[in-house]
Amino acid sequence: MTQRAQRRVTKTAAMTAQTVVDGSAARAVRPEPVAASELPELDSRQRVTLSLVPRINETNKRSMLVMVIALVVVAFSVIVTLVLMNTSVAQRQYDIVSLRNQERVLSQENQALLKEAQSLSAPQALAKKAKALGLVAPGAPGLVDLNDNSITKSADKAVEAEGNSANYATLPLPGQSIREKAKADTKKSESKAPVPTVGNASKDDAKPATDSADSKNSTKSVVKDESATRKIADDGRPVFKDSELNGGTIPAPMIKSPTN
Amino acid sequence: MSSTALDTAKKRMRFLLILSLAALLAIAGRLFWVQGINASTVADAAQADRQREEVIAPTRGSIVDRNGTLLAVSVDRYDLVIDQRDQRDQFRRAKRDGTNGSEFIGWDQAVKELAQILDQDPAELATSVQPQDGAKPKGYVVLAKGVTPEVKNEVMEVGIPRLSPLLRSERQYPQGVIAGPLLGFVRNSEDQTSVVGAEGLELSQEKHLKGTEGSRKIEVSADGVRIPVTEVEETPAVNGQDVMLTIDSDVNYVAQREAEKKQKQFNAQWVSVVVQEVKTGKILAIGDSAQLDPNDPGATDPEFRRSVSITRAFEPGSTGKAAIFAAAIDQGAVTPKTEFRVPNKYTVTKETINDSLPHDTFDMTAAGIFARSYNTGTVMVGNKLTKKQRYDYMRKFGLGSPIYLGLNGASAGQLAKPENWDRRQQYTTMFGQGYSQTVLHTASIFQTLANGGERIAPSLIEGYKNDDGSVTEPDQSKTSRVVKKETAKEMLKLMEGVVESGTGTKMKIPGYRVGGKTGTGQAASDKGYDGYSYSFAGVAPLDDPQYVVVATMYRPQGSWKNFSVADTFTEVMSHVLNTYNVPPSSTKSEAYDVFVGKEQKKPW
Repeated sequence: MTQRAQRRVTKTAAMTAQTVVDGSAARAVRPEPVAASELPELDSRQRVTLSLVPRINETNKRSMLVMVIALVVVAFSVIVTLVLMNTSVAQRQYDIVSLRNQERVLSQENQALLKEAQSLSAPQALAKKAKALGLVAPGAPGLVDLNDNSITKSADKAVEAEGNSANYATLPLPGQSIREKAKADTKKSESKAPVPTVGNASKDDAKPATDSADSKNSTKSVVKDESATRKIADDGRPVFKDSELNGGTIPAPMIKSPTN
Repeated sequence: MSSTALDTAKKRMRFLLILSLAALLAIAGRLFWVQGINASTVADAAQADRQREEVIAPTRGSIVDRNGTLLAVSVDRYDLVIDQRDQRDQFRRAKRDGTNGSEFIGWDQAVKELAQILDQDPAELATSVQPQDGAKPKGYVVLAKGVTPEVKNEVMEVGIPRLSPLLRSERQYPQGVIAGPLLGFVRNSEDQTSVVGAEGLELSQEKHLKGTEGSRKIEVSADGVRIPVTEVEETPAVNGQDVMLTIDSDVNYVAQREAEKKQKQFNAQWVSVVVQEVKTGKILAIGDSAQLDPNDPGATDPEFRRSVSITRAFEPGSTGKAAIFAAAIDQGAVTPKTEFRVPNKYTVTKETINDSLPHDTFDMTAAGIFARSYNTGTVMVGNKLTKKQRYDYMRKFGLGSPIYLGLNGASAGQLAKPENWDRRQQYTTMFGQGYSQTVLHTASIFQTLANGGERIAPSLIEGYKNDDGSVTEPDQSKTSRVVKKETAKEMLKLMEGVVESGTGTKMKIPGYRVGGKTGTGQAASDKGYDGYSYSFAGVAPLDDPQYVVVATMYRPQGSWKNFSVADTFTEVMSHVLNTYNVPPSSTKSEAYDVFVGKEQKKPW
């Protein structure tokens, strides 16, 4: 204990004590108070007595206040910064979510437009439009030999409208179901050629164009007949024959013979 | 105080001190364990407790043709699902007319609006929106499947509570039926949120198209709300590669259209048109008469949901003579000018070979036999080679093994070993009977001959386009030399003879030198030969062959004498030549004489 007191005294020099202790016994006299600044040097073995602390002057007081205010401001600004940062991070997260949504909406819009453009520019759609505009397939192109500036072959005239062998717009359009297409074609063919027979097409070689039309009609009307004869029951379901239902079981897959 | 009491007190104090120190040590040790040694485990456990992982689905790659036209693409679609439980009689929603404020509406009104948007019957829709007549409300009722984002947005505006859209990916084919059987189609994945390939390229290219799933890790608090300031760990999804095909959708359209037209003309079982590039072996078009719209594969007969051009093997008939003539010339057994006396009937080892039409006995060149496609003459030519030699050449031309384009179900055809050929088969294999092959095999044989005798394995896939725009090339097509260059050159002249003065005179295309071979084969079923296959395989322009077109019709109805695929071939071939700006031929025909002597015009 004494060691420590001594060390403290030598260090600060502002604190001291009077000789109030003699060995382990306290003296009877009450020491006179002494200003802390005027404390005399001490014997090392003496105990530190209480002393008056010099009054803090005004300037010290003010700097203390400034210090406190500064600290408060710093603390406050730290808190505010943290809160702001937190908010901005949170806000960013919301922004990301909303941008993601926006991206999705835009990409969906893009998808839809792209798909529409592609469907409109599909070859069969273009062919149909061209046909509607009265365009026909070209004849063979003319040829010019650039070496001797001669026309090696003159161009053929395109065959007009109905006679043109290249009958465009026969394939179903994008988005048009094959079934619907077949149905629509059958209706058309029914009105034109009522009962063409299957397979008569190839017999007459002289008129391949009309034959092809006939056989086309005939195959389609066969398809149509099948669907037309299907009766619809009261519950809106088509009526199947027992043989068609195969006893209620699904037939096993058949092995496809390569030569069949 | 006695000294013993003091001792006891001291002892107690020491004991307490030791106890406290021990406790402190235990706590410190535990702290050290938790913070120092085991820190990561504990932190991980805490992290795992808060963390939720979301899967980011990759976008399935597109399939595009050689010009970048989209053939298959994945789009976002929504399933609309309603939870019928805990619904009130009325609900509040923001006004739909754009004004501020909200309104209360009842279910009748909501169902009416919903039915209008979804284009469904209101009465029917009402049964799924609300539980019927005291039935137990269901937690999950699907109102509509695969609606577009616009429809979904409109439905959400109706403001029905507990109606939620579920995002899923749907496959669309903007070009409709173009190259349908090649593209194949998809089916829903097990969890119904995406699609996987079911057939065709969609199936075979699955690993390229699929992409890799990404993930997003977020932290949630105990009440399940996401903690906003925490770090988000995101592994982005890698979208599938776009598969670029060698197909040209315009050419494919023409091929399909012509095939369909021909099928209707002769009421054939199927018609196929294949276009192949000579110099690269790339397939430009495969047109089948049966159309498959991958958007609705169920509308097509199951038999035709794969391309018949690669799945159906048949006996090719006379187009098969090309391989035999090439073999004979390559071996030096004959030259195009070698002379033969060709009768209408020819008997060898007790097997009589007939020609399809009776004709006089002619003195012909080998080239003439090829041009007029006489079976008797062909057997004379083929007999100059051994069975083994002919078989080896046929194998080298690709017969008897499947051609893998990236499409499942490719048929190898049937080509028996020469030691197993029966007495007649050894002759019939010379003129395209007694073995079978696909249309693609025919195309490949003619590609080989047009490409100077070098066979390039047909390919359908040009490359794979990665997400970053770079392109990964597929494995190089295998090339192999089948016949000598000179042989191939001679074969082109033989083919020109077919178009000039043989069986294929209708195949001429103005301005271009065309060569090829017709083929009428008998088609077998389990009842024996009861039909025909009819085809023409042609090459143009002969001065620098660029394209092979094979038009095949299987089991056409009517008399075989009337069969013709001339318009199909010329239409497709001239379209290809025009599309790719192939310069017209400037050289003269190099066809050989058909007959020995001056007189070339003899009756059939």
